[in-house]
Amino acid sequence: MGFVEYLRARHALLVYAIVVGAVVAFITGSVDYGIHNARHCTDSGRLCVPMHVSLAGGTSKILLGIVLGSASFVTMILATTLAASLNKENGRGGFAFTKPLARERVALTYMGIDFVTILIAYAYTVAVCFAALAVLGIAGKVVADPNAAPIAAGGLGAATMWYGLIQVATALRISGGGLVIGLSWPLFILARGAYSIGFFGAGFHAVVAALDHLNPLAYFAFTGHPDEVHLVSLFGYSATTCIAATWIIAIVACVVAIGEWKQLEV
Amino acid sequence: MNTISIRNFTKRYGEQVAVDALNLDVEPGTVCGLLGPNGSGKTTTFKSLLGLIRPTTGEFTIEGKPLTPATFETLAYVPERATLYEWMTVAQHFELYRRTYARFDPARAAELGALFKLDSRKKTKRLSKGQQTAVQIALAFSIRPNVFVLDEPASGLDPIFQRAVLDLIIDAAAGGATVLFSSHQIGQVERAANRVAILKGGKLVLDGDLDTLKGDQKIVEAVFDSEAYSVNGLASDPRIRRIDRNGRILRAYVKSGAPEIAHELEGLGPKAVSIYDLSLEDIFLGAVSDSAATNGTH
Repeated sequence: MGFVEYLRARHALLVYAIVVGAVVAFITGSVDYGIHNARHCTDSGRLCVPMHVSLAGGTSKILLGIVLGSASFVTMILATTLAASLNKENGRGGFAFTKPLARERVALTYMGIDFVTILIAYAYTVAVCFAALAVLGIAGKVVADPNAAPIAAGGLGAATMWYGLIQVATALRISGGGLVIGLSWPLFILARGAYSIGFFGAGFHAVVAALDHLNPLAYFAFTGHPDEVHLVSLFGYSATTCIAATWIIAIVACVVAIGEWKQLEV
Repeated sequence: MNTISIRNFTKRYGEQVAVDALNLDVEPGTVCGLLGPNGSGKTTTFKSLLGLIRPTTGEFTIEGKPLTPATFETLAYVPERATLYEWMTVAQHFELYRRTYARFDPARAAELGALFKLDSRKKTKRLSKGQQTAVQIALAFSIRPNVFVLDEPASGLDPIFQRAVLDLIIDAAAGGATVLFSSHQIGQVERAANRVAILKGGKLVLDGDLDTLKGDQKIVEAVFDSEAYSVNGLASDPRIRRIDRNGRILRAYVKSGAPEIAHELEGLGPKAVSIYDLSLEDIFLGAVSDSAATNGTH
């Protein structure tokens, strides 16, 4: 059955690669066009002269953590599209369950293929980011920073946690995996934003805070200034705690999803 | 040893009983047709047998063993509705089976693909319902299983391919395979099956060898001029299993002595009296009709 998930993941990765590549190419091209066609205009726009603009002179350095963190957010899109892989078998009258393979083995195979696909997508996204920076002539400004590795680990952890939570939410459903995936985005974004809202009272805040402990976006954000960037959580946890929390929740969620799927009646 | 054994199987959904204390054994090399009206419990029985739903009570064995994933190495299941991956091609489905089943026979798969005129490059969403069924049949037979569980296997197929499926079933049984299948097309069951089990309301109401069930039974049919006719003492005649009155038509299901009973009916003044051999359809309708006796069950 791994062949089915391999084909699914390959297709998802291809679509992802095309879309991400096209979007990054468009943005890069637009910026590049702006650089080469900049004009300095005076006298209400009637007199314009070419102007030399270079990104190379504007920014002293680009921290690697910013590139890896940005790539993590984009990779979450692919992670969520793959996340209902168990659910996709549930409406097929037992096609996957009447094969000479234990259900947990099928589930683990699916999850393994999905995880490798997420890693490939992440590596691809980072590569596309570097390619864009190279086109703009500022790839050389990317510098390693000590927080890059924690940001990458936290970003991949958050993507995998999101994947696991959707698996739990959909493993017992016969259909509707796509709906759960679609709703998870506004839900997690709004839940993260709602944590900062103070005007609904302490009770509301407590409920949102509790829900946000299962929100991957609550564990993964990065902030700082051009010289230093950190992994930050909504709750003020340390980077190590955030990374550990995302991976533990991801693993527990996947185990629970497999347990649910094993019991599913179709 | 029975190839398929179902013991005391009951499935309840809340207060509703879908299948009630079903016992069914299917011997090796048998083609057993499982018949019943819609909602009689056929699909529930298949799904429980295959571990897709949990029985409320009951035990199932296949080739003498409880169901495990390894059982499916030698068991092929075709569900009621085609459940292929609509975004995959026919060839990719065969590739999936090649990777999944140790017993997959590529030559057999090619032969079946040609039999059903399957275009291997087509995605299954581009196939008609009948062609999708044909793909499932071809996949099932390409692993050369010992046991087939087929839920409406010829559904949506044209008469030519229906015949081809029946021939495959008969051929597999001749080679030693055991087949348990359901169909609403009784003619198909009559052609392929040598054993019939009939469910009604979740209960087994008739089960037996087809030839034995037919036995010497006949139908004596009389057509009268009006609906106002009397059957006198025929209803209590021990040679008659059942009498159906449908307007001006009377049908007597006769266990023995059909010519004598026809002669007695002629004495009632009908327009015509005929004697027919009992068909499986007659047996089925007799078993599932509201007035049916269950004296055929054993």
